[in-house]
Amino acid sequence: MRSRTPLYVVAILLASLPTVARAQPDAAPAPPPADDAARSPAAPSGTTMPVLKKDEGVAYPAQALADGIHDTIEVRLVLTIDAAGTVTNAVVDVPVGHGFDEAALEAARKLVFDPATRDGRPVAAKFRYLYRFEPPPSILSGRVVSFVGERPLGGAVVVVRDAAGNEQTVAADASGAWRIDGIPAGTYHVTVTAPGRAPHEADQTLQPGEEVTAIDRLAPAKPAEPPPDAGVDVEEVEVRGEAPPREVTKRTLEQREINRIPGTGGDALRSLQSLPGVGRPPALAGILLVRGAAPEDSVYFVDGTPVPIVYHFGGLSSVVPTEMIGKIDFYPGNFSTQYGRAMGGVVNVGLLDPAADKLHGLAEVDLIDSRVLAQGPIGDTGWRFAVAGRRSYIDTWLGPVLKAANAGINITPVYYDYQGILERDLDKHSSIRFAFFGSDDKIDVLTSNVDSGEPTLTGAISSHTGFWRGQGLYKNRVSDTTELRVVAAVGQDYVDFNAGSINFSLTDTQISSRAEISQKLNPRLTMDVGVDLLFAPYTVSAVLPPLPKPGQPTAGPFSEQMTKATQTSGTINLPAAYIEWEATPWRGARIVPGIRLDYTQLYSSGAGTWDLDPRLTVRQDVTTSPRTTIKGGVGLFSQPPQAQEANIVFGMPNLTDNRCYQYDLGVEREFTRNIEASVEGFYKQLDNLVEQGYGNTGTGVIYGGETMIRYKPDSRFFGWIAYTLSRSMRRVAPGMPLELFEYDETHILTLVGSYRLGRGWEIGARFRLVSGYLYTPETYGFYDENVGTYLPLEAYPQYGSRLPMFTSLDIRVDKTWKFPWGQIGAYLDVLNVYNAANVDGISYDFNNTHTAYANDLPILPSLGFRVEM
Amino acid sequence: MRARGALGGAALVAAAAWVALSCAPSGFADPSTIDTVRILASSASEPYAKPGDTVTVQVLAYDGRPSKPAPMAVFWLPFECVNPEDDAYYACFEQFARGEAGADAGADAGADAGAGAGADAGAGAGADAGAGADAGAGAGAGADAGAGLVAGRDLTPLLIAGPSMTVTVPADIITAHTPVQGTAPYGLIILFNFACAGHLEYTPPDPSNANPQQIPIGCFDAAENALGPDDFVFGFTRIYASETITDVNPVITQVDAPGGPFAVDAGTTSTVTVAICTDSTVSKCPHIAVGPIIAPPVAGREVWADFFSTAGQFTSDARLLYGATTGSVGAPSATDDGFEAPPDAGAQLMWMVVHDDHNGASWVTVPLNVQ
Repeated sequence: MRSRTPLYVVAILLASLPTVARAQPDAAPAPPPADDAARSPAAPSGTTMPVLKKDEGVAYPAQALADGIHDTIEVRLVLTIDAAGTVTNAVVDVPVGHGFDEAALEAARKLVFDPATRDGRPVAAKFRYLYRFEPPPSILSGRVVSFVGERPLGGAVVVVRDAAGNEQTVAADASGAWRIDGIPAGTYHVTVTAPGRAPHEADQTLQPGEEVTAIDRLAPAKPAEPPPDAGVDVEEVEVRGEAPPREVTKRTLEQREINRIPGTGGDALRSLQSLPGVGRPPALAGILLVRGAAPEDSVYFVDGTPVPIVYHFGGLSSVVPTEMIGKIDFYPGNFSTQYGRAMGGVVNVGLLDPAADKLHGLAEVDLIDSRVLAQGPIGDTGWRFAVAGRRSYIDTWLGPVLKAANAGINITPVYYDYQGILERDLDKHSSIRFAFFGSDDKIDVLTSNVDSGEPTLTGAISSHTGFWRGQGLYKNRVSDTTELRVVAAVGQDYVDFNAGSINFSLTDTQISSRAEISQKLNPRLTMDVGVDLLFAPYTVSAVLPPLPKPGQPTAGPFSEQMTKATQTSGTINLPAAYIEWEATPWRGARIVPGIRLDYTQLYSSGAGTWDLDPRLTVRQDVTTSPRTTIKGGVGLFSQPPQAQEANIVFGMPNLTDNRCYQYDLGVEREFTRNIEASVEGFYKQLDNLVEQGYGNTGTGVIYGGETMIRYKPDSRFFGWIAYTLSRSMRRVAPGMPLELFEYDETHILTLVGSYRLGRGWEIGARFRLVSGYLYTPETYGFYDENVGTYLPLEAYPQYGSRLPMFTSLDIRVDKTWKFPWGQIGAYLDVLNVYNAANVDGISYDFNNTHTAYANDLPILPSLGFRVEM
Repeated sequence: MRARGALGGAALVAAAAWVALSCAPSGFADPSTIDTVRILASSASEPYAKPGDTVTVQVLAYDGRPSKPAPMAVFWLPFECVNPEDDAYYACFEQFARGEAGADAGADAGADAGAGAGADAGAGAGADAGAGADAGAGAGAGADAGAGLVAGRDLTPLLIAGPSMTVTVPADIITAHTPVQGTAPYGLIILFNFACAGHLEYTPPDPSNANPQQIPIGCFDAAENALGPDDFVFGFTRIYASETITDVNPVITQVDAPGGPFAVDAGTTSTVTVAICTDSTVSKCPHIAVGPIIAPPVAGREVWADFFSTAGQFTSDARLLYGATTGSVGAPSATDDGFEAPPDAGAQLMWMVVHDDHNGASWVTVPLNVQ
């Protein structure tokens, strides 16, 4: 029919860029619809109609994509061309909006025709012209790697089958990557196979214009047929362009990056310190400084269960070893309502899914600790397990070293951690997992040399901290529209600290539960409803000096201050509920409004307090290829007082939660498949802050910007440049000055890169440049005769001076030897390669008349070995 | 319970302690070497007093300057700072500036100051702290202290001179103290003293500076030059008052040293002889072990000894004798300090000051003969 209607020309045009939504890539003029043909005037005898000579094409309009339009759209134009075949006028016959009309008109004006003729002479003509905009195609891509070690599996065969049974087959290249461009939207069944590997199958659903990238980790082939419900692969699916996070900023590090960031010893959680917005912690301080917040303002979870610490003492390593971590999600601010009780950042560590094909083992040794891991299936039961343990042995060599140096002190630091996982897929849609994990840090110090400034820190000093959790996790995709996730845990936190006549002991039982139902109400709206419960009976006993007021000089060494004692028990009750809607009202948009209701009861007697925290996150793609997203968020974040702040003896009664209003605005852009950049500004307004000795009198402001240019891992390289500029200020109480907060770090620049040289060699480097710490200068002051020590005259206000800039270059070299049974790896991780004399603090002589810089770690090589099977 | 802060804090404290104890700064002057004007300690007749008690505090000061353009003298502020806010010594400065010095305190202090000075002059061998003790001056000081605070005015005539001061603990000191949760009721008196090789003047606080530590008293020479750390020490001492807590000063019975142990009599021992050091490398100098031997303290007290000398060098400037939970560290061989003799022969002095963590203190002076 179309070919019989020469007055109507339908052009479906190729897109100019391969990944953008475009008009249908069909160069041939399409026949006009029947009804148009019926209304067309017949060509008089001896007359020829114009013939299309030049067509530059037209793209599916971005506005339409932004408006959520992804259907086939037709736009009818009335064109007037002159006797030369040039379009002199174009008018939309029936407007359709969403940018289609404008796109069609703009394209039509560039059309060039051979003119119509009458009796062989060119003549002007007026006719109808139809543009048909087909929804842009999608891209399905992926990477196939080995389960252990994530080695690329080049040559793996990927079969993609659509709903009609049509198949496309591609092979992964040497880097394990594969890609199918121009694939129509829809649901596809993807089967990945590789020689000697267990196959993997999964369904992937693509929206128009969307690129979905699947990372398939294939385990070695099973010796026997597995039970039908036993999965063998761990798969991460990244959805680009259409499934952004519920938060403004969510940073996820891949295993390859975690393992290879120089200066971290391959430690997963230490790698977080290389991300934008994360400050440099003081040497040997296992804390995370996020966007100018205090360390206690950030919270840590293991699969949704809160844990009290993430680092062993000194920040030497994480309490969960890298090998037991499947992924780390880090939210520097403005996070979802599913998280609460924090004003800083959120770190959620996801434990790995145990291997299902066969038994795997791993052992690693370095100068600090040793660790082992085993995982695999339990017979044919369908259950999978993973167990791991780690112990440091600093104590075995530090004592003799100190003794040989005649240091007059003996220090025996020991830490260990352990993890166990038992997991099973109940059916195709549900799984259950039991996990047990914990950590224990113990430091004993024995010295007869007295620190004259604080004599109590003499003799036998001991610190023992730890926690354990028993956790159950149940996930069920109840239907295509309903998902359920429940995690519950019971455990214990404990702290014991003794130094001379002061001591502190805390034991609390942690009972926590988190449940979330995600209900897809319609294709454009999902509702997430959840509860987040924490119930903690505790016992605390303490004999401690009074805590100093913020901003005030100390009253002297606590060795001579009147100590305070408490021995109490009680229960902390922190239930919360939240609801969140994920709306995608138009193409490229995601609007996530939510609200969280927290109840805080810190005292066994008396009523608690309620906090209602509304939050809103908005993301909007403004271009699709390369994808550019504008994002923003605003929200209220409440945080309960710390345990010591709420203690009736050491703190104050009737405290309410700290509050923080957070505002974020930023842009993300993907330049290529591997290169992306983001810029984000943040502003945090703090009030109702708990200040020791004052109450909820504190206020503050934190503002700044952070940017990251990242090359995502490919077969050879990964790296990023991250820079943060920020300012953090606090006011203790009304009428007092607004002053720099002690954790303010103005500039944080981090450059990371790692390159695979081949033959198992990989080399990486990290460079850091960070503003120096704030400190309070001290000068000659007073003599405390009771203790026999000089007390300094402290500059006022506190933290008014800054130490010199910190710079450090760290280099890591890895070598891997492969064997049929597995692989052996070795690495050399050198911290501070050029031995920069970075300043970590100020040392003063006994009466504060002379000073010297106390330096951070000098060049420090670390050697490690790993065996994987 | 939200223990995150507590866990992190404890780990941080332990790590900090580890670093502090294992990475002592080097290249600084030895605090044990007395080569400037120094206050070394003070000792109250009752480390923990009761309301209404009369307490005498003695101070041990020494002028170790190689040259002495003007003599050092010890003065007491005739001002009894009672129950300062948050028990902070610097909170007394505001009281002092407001002229809240009590007439009674001044009178008591002055009356006792002369006697104390005299007694101490005999006890503390070599100490010249007793010079200038004048009961009369002290008697009037309390009344004048508050009213006479004019910048640039020589306060010395208004102060109590001498190595000791006596105060009467107010009867209501405990009830007047803001109740503190978690501790038995108590009261606190803070006394201020100065070792100054010149005269003392009031230095009014800078109103544009909110620093609560601004030093209200300065030491000046005759030309009105402010004297620094070599010539001036601003000291203070606390006297706690409690109905329930008691403590006694440590009792030094002997001094362990080569040729000893040496008995302690009236705060001093007989002369200890050490061989001169002839090597330019200190570590190669003759090394002797010295240390105090004390009577068992009150149970649960942490007790340590500070070491000072006019020449030579100690291995540690302080050593632990008793741990609060672990008790005695051991025999003298476990608690003695190392001492390297100086390169020059002659008579020198050594002090061992024994503190406990409940305000108790006592000391012994050891004459040295380096030959």
